[in-house]
Amino acid sequence: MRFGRGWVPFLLATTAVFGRPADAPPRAPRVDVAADLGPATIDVSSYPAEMQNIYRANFLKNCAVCHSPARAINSEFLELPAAEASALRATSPDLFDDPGVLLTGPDLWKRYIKRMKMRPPCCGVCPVMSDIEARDIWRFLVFDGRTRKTGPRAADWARERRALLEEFKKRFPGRYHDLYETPKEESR
Amino acid sequence: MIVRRFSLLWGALAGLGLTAFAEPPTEQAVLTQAPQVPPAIARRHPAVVQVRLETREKEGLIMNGFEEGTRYRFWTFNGQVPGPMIRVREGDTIELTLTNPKESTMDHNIDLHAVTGPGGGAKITLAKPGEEKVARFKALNPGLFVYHCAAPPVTEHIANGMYGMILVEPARGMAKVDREYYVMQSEFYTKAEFGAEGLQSFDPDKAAAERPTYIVFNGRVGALLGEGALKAKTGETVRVYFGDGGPNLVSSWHIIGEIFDRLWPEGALASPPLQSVQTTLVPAGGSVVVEFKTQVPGDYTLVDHSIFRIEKGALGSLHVDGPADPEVYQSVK
Repeated sequence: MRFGRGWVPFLLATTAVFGRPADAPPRAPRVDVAADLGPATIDVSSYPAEMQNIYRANFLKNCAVCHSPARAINSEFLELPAAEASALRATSPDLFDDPGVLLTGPDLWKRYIKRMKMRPPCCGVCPVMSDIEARDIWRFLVFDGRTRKTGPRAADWARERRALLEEFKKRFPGRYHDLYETPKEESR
Repeated sequence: MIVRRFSLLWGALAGLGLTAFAEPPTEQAVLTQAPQVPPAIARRHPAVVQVRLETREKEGLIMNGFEEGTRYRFWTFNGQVPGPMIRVREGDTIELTLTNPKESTMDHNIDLHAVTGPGGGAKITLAKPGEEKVARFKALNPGLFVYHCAAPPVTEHIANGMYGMILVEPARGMAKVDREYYVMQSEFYTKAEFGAEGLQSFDPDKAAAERPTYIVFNGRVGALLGEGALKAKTGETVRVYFGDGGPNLVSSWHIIGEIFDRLWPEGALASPPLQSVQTTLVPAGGSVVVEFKTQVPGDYTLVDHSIFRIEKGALGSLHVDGPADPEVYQSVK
């Protein structure tokens, strides 16, 4: 199946109606990166109970304070240990053609989440995450990345991510150039 | 007890002007690990204060991790980053013993900014592995001073953690406060990026470019958060001795939600304090002394107001307990 230009708004609309849990925060209008254009929630019903719980009670709550959860859900980050990344690269080299679609590294999420954890609790809004909460968000994002960005769902992921990049390029050509045509790790 | 009696006797002789040729009493310095501060000095006469420091190269935690901690091989005074706080009185003689254990991989020494003399003591305290050096310094000027290792290359010795603070109380003493804390900001430069786990190595290129990986209070990310948060009660006066070990950055030190009622810029305790200060610039290798009264309970965040530095670790907390004061702070609607 090939997605046309109009799939993003359609996906957003269907997500808004069917995909969003009752306690999910509203979508942030801010669009800084391509991932922000994608869905802000995912279907985690097939995930282990612990991961579902982290997703609902921790990930959505904490990550939505400063940006839409879409930023993490649709991110190109795939955190894999170096050996696992090498093995995947050997079996599925096409997955790694474009770092804007899939960017692998041994500690991409780990470093990102640690930075996001450093927020002053001055207005009572910023999440004051415990070390355990931060670690759980990291575990969830690593698990989710493996589940949706590799294996049988890898092709779907790549297609959806490319569509987001196309949409972002169309709407924000200057930013697209800055972000995706001069690659910088962790800046997206 | 004997020291105390001698001290009292010396104090009496001092009152009679009979101490010109006498050696003042000797006492051991109380050294504390940040954020603790040595007790205020009660005596009103000079003493010989013996300070023992040992240089240690040791692995420690720079940040908690998800799978394992972020570790770093620190170079330290007494195994601590920042090094222990030393407290003496103006007019005291500091007798400093610096030991560099034979297991050490390099020379070490100490340059105390409180010392008048070449190198601040660096030359006469330079100790090779297995050596011990003893030096005496007269504390001529009151103030809050940084000390650091100045053995070559001084850049790396400071970058790896060899700094601390020495307080020289004015001869007249200092006003009593309810709580005192010792906080020091510094940076670390590692090859891997912020948050990478395992043992990290020093990156001289980042250090030369002044692009730190970590900017921390009291030696590691989170040292002043959670259980490590500073504590006070409403109505108390808190004094913070704040220093900047660098090696490179100037701090725009600020406590969110507090105003420094009295502030001695550059740690210059001989000068009158500034009043009602929001944010203070503290140079690398410099310090500041601040006092403030806590009126409203809650959590107050210590930051370097060059604010992106919080994402590199420059974040601490002061937790204030006690009754609220709606006249000072309240939500209306």
